[in-house]
Amino acid sequence: MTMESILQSMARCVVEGNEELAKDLVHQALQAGSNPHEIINMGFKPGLDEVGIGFERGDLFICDLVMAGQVMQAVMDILTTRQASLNLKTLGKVAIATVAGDIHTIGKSLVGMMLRLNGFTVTDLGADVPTSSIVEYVKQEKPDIIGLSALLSTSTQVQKDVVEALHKADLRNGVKVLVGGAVTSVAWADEIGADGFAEDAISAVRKAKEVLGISD
Amino acid sequence: MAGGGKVKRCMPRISLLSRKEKERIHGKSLDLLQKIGIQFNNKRALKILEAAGCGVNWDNLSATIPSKLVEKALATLPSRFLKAGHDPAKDFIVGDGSLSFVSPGQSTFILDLETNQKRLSTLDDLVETTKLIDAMDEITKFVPLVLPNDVPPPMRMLRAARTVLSLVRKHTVGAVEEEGVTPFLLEMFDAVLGDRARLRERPVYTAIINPSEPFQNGRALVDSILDLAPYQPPIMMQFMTLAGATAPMTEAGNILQENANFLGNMTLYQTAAPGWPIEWSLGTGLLDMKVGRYTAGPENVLSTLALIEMAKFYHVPVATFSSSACDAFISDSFRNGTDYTMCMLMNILAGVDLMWWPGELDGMNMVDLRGMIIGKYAADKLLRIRKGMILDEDHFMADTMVKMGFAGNYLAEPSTKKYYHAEWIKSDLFPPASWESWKESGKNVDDIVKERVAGLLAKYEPPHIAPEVIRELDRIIAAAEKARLA
Repeated sequence: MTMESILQSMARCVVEGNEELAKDLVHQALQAGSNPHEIINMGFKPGLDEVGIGFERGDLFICDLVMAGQVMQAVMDILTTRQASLNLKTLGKVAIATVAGDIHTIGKSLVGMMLRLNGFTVTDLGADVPTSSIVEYVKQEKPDIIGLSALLSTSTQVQKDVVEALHKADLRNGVKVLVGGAVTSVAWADEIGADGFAEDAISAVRKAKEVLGISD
Repeated sequence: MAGGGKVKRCMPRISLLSRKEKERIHGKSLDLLQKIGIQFNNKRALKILEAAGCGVNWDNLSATIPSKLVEKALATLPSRFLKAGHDPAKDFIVGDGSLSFVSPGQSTFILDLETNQKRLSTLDDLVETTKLIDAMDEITKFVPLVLPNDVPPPMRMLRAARTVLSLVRKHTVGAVEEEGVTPFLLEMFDAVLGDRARLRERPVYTAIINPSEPFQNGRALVDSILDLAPYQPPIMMQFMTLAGATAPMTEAGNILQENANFLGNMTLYQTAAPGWPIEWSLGTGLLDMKVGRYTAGPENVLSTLALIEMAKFYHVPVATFSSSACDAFISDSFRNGTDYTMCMLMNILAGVDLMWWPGELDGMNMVDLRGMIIGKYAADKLLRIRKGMILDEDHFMADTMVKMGFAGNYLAEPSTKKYYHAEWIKSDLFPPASWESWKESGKNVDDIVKERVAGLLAKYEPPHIAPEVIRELDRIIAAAEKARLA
């Protein structure tokens, strides 16, 4: 295959969610002398852009985004073993967690996926994460944003607890707090002193950019 | 159609699965319970199951469940049981072939009837809607319509319970999924019933549980239910498998997972307390692949139909709440009507025992009082369909036709006067009218809805509760606040 057709096929892999072919193409491209930046920016990123446009248009949907994200993750895993730091530009560091007492993960994972696809560096802290662990992570890693997910109505109290704990640890001013989940709302975010509320994974990206002052 | 001999009542029915298909679903479910099992996340539950012969993994807190234990549990499952009202006049039996309606419930948001805006629901909304539902004759089983968001989250369920127990004469339903709620709830039943042990003879309360992750449970949820084992109030199990998210994308996969989940969870509680009344509340859905929420649709209808049949196969009473869900955001639209009626009709034709009353928008996130009131229009018509028709000599009226001969005027026929009230369903919400009389009345739908709400609130009769019981309920709430808000 020519490099041109390899790069075009890479874009198709993202759109089609074909992880195995994507990995194979990465190896082919590296063997042909390409470098990670060319592979990402000329190969896979156009596919990612197409997925994003397709989603906004209503031609592609959440499962297409998830599969595209999995392809990108597999590609990045190979490329980072070749070059430890790819020095990719990130829009910001985001940590996401489902708060203590709540084991729901799907919404949070979707948010993480969308943020990654849109250029954020995301660390998923998991579900049922103790408040103290969230605070400790913020202290150590200094993310730009902490995203707190809650699906149970009782979990909303824990979102409030996290905000208060961040204040107590004198960390609140250094991190933006976004809340989400079916039982949360703009009013709740305001009440607990969070920086914003995102009702779904799509608006989470917009909100993240907004709170960091990033324009489209 | 009714069996042989003189035909009395012809009732419409629908069926989807053959016996062989039901047995296949059952067999595959048993297989999954042995291959995957259920992650109960609860050591108390695992001890019960291990003693009964299940394989237990103490590292990931799961149990695989052998088929013979499931079959043993099914054999002890009651097929009909009493649901007591706080007022005995509101008692009803579930599983006796009748259909009962449950109020939709526990939404976080409400569509304000005055402003038509979505807002968080409050304690005042809970009080008003509780009175409204208790006054609605059509609804026999009460679920708190809204959650009081102006109450601190650790107290929401208990404040809802206290409000409901002091205002409702019907049978009530509540969620017991949080740590530490059950002991206070049982104290409330001590106050209201005189002794919590009376829950067995007067089961005025159903505990609703939502183990929503596939093949998983929360530790607190299981503890909360096991705490109720000595009193055995009915349990309403609701799994809400979401195709494409927490369950396979296919209808068959969604059905199979829900069925297996039901059998696994049912087995735990029957093993803990054989004969414990359980009803299966169906809410399988599909993930909206655009906005990532529960969606009401024809896919729900098909999987619900199949699962109603599985419930009948197991002789367990079955409820459906897909009838309450709607994807629309706008009240009183063709969309609402389509979603509610499609689900309600199919559920009725499949022989469901309990059905949630329509009245939620935006998936199931927002209560719509307008939809709840107008839902009566659909419910009246559907109940008439459910009633079927009588095919006997009196009703064939062949002799009357011979008597009337050609060009007979049936308006003047005594049999028309005799039968028209039973045969012709008239909506009391939108009474029969001509276009002209409708225009002359000057009323729009909102006027009718608000009039009906006002009428129901005026009709509402509070239960007879002694002042000392109310004081005791308030004392329990104060104690709970001290313990849970510290």
